[in-house]
Amino acid sequence: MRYAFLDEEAKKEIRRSILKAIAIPGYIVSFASREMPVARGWGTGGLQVTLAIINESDTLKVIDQGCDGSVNAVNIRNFIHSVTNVKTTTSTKEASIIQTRHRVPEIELKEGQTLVYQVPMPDILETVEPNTAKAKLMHANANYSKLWVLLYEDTSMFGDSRISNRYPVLVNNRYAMDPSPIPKYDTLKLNNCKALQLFGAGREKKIYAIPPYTKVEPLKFEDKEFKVESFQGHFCNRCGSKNSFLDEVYLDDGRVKYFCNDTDYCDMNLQGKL
Amino acid sequence: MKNIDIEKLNRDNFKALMNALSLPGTINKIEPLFQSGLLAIANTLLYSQTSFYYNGLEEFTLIEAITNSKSENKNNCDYLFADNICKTLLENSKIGTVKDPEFSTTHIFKCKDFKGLNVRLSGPGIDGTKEVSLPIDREFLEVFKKKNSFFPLGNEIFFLSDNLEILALSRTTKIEVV
Repeated sequence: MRYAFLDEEAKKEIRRSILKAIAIPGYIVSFASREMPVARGWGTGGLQVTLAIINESDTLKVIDQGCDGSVNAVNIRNFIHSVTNVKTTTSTKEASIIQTRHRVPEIELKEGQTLVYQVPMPDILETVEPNTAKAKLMHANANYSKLWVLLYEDTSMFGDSRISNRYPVLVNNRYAMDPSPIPKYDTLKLNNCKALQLFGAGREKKIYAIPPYTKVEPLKFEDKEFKVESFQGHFCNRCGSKNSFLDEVYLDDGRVKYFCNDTDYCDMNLQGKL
Repeated sequence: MKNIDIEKLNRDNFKALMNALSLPGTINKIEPLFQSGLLAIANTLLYSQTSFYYNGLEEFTLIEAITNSKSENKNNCDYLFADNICKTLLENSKIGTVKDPEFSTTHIFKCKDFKGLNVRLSGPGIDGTKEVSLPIDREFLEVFKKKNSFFPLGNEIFFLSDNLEILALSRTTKIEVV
C-alpha cells in the first residue's frame, strides 16, 4: 500500500489543481478525480485533497456536521489513518488538517491550519444555470446577474433570501463561489480566515480554494442586512453555550432539547478550556 | 548507495510550496533531491500531463525521465525553471485565458538569496500588508505587475535561494516599492 493510498501521479494532478486554486481564489479548477474506496458523494473530493496534502508531520481531525463521532467522519478518519499512520485528534486547536462536511469549526482557526471541505455541488451557478458550459462562460465574464435576480425575486416576495445554507459568496471581489452546504451561521467565518481553505468535489471533479486572509463576502443587496440563524432564548443543554450553532433534538417523550452542533466546542466549554 | 524516498520528499516539498503560495512573502524550506533544490521542486510539480521549459545548467534529463513530463518552448510551458531571474522569460510566458486562467505558466527562479528590492506586499494570503525583500529589480517588478494586471490572468513565481529557501508571489499579490 502506498503512503496516502493515491499513486504519485494522482497526487501530483491534485496538487497542481490545489496550487492553481490557491493562486486564483474562488475559481473552480477541474481535476482528474480518482475512484476511492468510498462511494462518490460521500466525501471523495475532500478525501482526495486531504490525501494529496497530508504528510507525517500532520495531525488530522475529521468532522461531519460538527461532530467527530458520526459514521462518515469516523470512517474517513480511520481510513486516512490506516493509509498514513498520521496522528488524529478531535481537538480543533491541535489539528493541522481539518476535513469537514458542512461546518466551519466554532473555535477560531489559526495560521498554518488547513480546512478541507467535502463539496457535493461545486458551482454556485448550477442553481440558476444548469448548462455547465454556459456557467463557465458566466464565471469568465464575472456575469452573476442570474444570481442577483434569484436574490431579488426572493427579497421582493419574502423580504429576504430563502437560501438557508450553501449561501453564495463573492471571493476577493471576483468569483462567486459555493461555500459547500455550510449554514449561513458559518458564512461570515470564511472572510479573512487565518487558515487555508480547500474545497474538493470528487464526483464533480473540481477543486477550489480560499487562501488565508482573503476577502469573502456573502452576495447580498447593500440595503439588506445578512441575517444568520438565530437561537435566541435557547442554549446547549449539555454545556450551556449560548454562542454556538445548536442542533434541535427531539426526545422520545416529545420534548425538544438543544445541543452544540460542534462536539469539540461543547467539550472544551464543558471543561472550561475556551 | 543511499536510498531516497522520493515520494516523501515530494509531499514535504509540496507542503512547502503550498504554504509559500498561500502566504506570499513567507519563507519555507525545501529538501533537496540529487543535491539540488530546483530538481526537488521540479520532481514535486512535474508529471505526465505537464510541460516544462528549463533555462540553466542543472541535470534535468533525469527529472524528465522520472516524471515523464514533456519539454516545451518557453512561451507555452506549464512550468518554467531558470537558473537566473529573467524578466524576458516572465514577459513572454502564457497567462491563461479568462475561461481557463489556470492554463498559465508557473515560474521557478533560482537566486542567491532574497536580498534586493524592499517592497510592501498585500492581497490574499497576506494579513494586511507585509514588508519583505525580493531578489528583483524595478524592471522585473514592472513586468510582473503588467502580467498580473488583469486578474484572473497571470503568473505565480517561486524564488529559490542557494540555501534552499523558497518565497512565492501569487498572481493576486499587489507589490509596491517601499
